[in-house]
Amino acid sequence: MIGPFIQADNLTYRAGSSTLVKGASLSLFAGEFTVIIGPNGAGKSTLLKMLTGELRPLTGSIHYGTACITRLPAWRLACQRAVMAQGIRLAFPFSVYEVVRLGIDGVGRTRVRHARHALVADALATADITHLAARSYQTLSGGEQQRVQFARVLSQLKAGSSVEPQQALFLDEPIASLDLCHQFDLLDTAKAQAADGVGVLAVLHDLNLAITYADRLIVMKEGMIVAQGSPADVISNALLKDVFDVSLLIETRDNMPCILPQSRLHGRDAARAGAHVGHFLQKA
Amino acid sequence: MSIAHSTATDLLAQHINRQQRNAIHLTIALIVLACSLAILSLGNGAVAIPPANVMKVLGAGITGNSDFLQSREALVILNIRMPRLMLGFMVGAALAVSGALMQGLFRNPLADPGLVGVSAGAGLAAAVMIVLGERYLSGFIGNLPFAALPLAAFLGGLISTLLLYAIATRQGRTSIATMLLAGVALGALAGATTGLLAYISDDRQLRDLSFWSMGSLGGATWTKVFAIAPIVLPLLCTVPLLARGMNALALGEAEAFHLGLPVQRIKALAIVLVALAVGASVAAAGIIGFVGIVVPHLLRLLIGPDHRMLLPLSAVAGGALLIGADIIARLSVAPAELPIGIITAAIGAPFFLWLLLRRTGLSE
Repeated sequence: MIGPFIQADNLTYRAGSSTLVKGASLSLFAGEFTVIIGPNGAGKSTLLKMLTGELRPLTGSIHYGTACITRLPAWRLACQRAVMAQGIRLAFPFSVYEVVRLGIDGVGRTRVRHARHALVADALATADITHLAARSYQTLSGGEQQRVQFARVLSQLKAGSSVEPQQALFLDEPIASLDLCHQFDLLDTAKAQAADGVGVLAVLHDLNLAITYADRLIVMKEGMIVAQGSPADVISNALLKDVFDVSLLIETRDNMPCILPQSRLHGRDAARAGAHVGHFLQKA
Repeated sequence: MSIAHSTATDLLAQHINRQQRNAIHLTIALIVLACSLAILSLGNGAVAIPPANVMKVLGAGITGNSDFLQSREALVILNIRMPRLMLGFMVGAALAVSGALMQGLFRNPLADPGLVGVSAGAGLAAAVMIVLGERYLSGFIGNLPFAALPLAAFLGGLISTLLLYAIATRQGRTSIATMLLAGVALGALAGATTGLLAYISDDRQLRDLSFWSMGSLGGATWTKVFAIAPIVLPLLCTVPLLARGMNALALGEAEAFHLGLPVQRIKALAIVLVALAVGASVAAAGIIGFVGIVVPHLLRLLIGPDHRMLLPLSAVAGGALLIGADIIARLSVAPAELPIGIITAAIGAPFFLWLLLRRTGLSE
């Protein structure tokens, strides 16, 4: 058994007086698709930013292989991991082709011209945006922009793979504005990357998609990791009640938990709605 | 599906070819424009010299034909108009490239070298030198040397930029937003102090002050050219190294870091280079506005925002613009001449308004 590609121990991050992440430890393995779930403000994005090197943790350490992240220069890190952040807006009217090409401008610039073009064209085709290549990024819809950023990240990963054998892919809510079909497309592509040996870490909000795609789930609440493991082990009524404060109906299909949204009214909100009505009637 | 795909691929190839063709055509056009303006500029002035003779003098200058170089036309061209042309081109190129860099750095197409405090600091230092210099310094060093004013302006611009940079940098990270806001505050402070100095100055000082703040290439000499060349040329040579960084910064600082770029180093290098180049230009030619905004914008409309083409072409176009503006400045009220800052503002301000209208979508 080989060790984890990325090992993070006891990470804490503080902004002002509030602690956003408290004592988080996790391992990211090559070839695994790991998904972080949790309510808004649970510290998912902050944890992801520490793992990518964008934020420096207050305490704790992060290792890529055997190297401490603080010792890796930016270009070296860029060969080992690609990052898709949320809602990227451009300052200037770059075309879609140019935005995707930015992915290889740092990592793949030593390659010859037509090899670079092939990398970009490949990424465009994978993200299904070849027909948008000449369009200005700023005129695209939110979902289309997200696919462009995904293509950029893919091209960076591909360009870096010739330098570094082990790589990680970080996706922060990558499907937030995508239509259903492209949600599956993107997650399938990410899953295929994992199958190729890349360690994938994604923040997702859709629990069913998280369960379907994740090899490992990490559940966060109030800055702490409260559970991690395979979806079947992690997802339970008690956990969802504790973390998301909702009672949902969980069924098991093909040995996987499946969450039915329409059952929500049986839980807290039903009680609250009833109380409101009662209160209103009393007043009247 | 495969037909749709191959059509999209064809369109992609067409798009790339069109972009490359546009860039090449524009490069050739700008170089031709700059050269024709240069010949026009060398030929026009108090003594009109036909272009053919200008070429003859230039040819003699290159081959070292000393007999011909003693002619009056040759002396006018080589000692008066050539340094002025060189100075104009360098100042224009430095201002336009600095503008493009500042816009990339601040991720804002309306940014200007003035924003990083260069102009405000240089303006204040120049005002101090003009108004107080004679009163307090002449006791120590006699008559003020001719170079005192440009030197003060250069140092003032550099110091204010470094001050802003220090204010905006915490724990090794420079906050571009803080720098912008602090620049506005320091600019207001410098403006108020300059105003106070104008208030206490006498008539002659006031005249010097206002002429300096309108900019002029009138005092161009070979000494000035050789003084600012070692400051401006490094900016122009380093620009290709900064282009990729500027492209990546358009996505945001975090993304540029993710792409593998040394973001802090790129920011520091861009700020220092711009401060030096603009400080030198202001020192050599006074305050010349709007070149830094107009030129990069126009080029972005023509060839797109890729800094690898934008930055070098900004240098050529900025130089050409200033040479052109200088020709207008000399010919419009000959034998006197207008301050060149008035010409660039008269071209730049309406253009800027048009850009603002475009941005709000009125003509899109």
